[in-house]
Amino acid sequence: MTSEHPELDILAYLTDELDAAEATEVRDHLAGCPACAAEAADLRSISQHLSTRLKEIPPTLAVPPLVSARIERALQAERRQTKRRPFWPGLSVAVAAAAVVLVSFGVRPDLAESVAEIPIVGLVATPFLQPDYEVQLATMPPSTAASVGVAQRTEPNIAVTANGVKVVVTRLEQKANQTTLSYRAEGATLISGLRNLGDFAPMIEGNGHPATLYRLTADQRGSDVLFVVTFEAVPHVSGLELKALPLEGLPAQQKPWSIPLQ
Amino acid sequence: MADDQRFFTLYKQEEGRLWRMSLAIMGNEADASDALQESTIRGYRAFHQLQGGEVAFGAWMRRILANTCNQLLRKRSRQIPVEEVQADPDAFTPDVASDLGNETWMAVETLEEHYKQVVVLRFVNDLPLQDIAAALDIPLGTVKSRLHHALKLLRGRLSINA
Repeated sequence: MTSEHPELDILAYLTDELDAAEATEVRDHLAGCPACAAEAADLRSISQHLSTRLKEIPPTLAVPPLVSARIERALQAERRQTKRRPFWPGLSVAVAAAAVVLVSFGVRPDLAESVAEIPIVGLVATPFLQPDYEVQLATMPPSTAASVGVAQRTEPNIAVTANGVKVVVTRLEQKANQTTLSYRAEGATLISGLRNLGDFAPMIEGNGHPATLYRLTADQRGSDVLFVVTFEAVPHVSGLELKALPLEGLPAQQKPWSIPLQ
Repeated sequence: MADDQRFFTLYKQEEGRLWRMSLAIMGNEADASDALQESTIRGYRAFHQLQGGEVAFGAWMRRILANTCNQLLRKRSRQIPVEEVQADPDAFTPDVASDLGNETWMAVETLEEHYKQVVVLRFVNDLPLQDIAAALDIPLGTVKSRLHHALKLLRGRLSINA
């Protein structure tokens, strides 16, 4: 038996992470030291308990849907840079399940023509001076001064009620290098945290390729939550549709919904 | 299956474990997200270099993630404290606890951050002690010391039949 208690090596001994000489030393010590033998039994017990119970992953440690979606977009962008074809054809079931909300854009030959299809009513002041919630998901390119087009819509054409919440898209602004979409969720309550925003947070896709989401802001206004999301520019907007897919990991089953915007 | 799809399929299988490892090392969701994204892109670029087939993918990605986390932490000059620090009395709130599911997770949440790191990496990610040391960029002896102390603390906070 060695004179010093090898207490810091006992756990490594129990899991075969010591070299042969160290393991022999600890084994010999445990055989002659009741205190360390009891300590070893104690560590084995708590280790077994933790190995079992900590595998039951709580919802707070699940991958946030927006993190998943962000990584998938980054992979797709990487894929496009190297091979210029979809990273995975269409949106796979796995991607669809992880995707939070999908705003898909149809394609028209040029930006000017397609923007002109939406009534342009002029610039509207940003509603968010100090948003309740803001997340920057990618670095935005320098802003361009001029808008290519701004479309502000009214409720009858672009609202849908789903999951007890009425979603109304109010504004779409196209700049040369950014696309900004504004919408409100009536009867919704903003709860901080990406997962709770997920039901109304969009991803946009143009010609089969999702655009990078730069920034999402959300603001509680009475019984409504107002959202402004900024993406990389999507050059074609005809056939615009706002869609939400069921989310994994939410307590209540969410139903998919979509809003045809034209 | 093309390499692209193969990488994505394997990655999705590991994403939860990688996320929890990143969260444990980086300490907050924003940094954990950055580290996971960066390491995933690195993994994608180097996928053709993966040795040992698909069974080796998880361990391979964990090494990439650990390296990425360490680089980000060094870049941001946010070193993991080696000295013992006082527990943050606000770190464990009833609201958080109610979301954690079982008493074991609640007890882990009461640990100081550097103890929680080693516990999560060990018992959630099943990392060997050497790999924890590499992931956190600390000596093996420090890992053993922290883990030993964390287990003693948890032993006192949990009702476990020996």
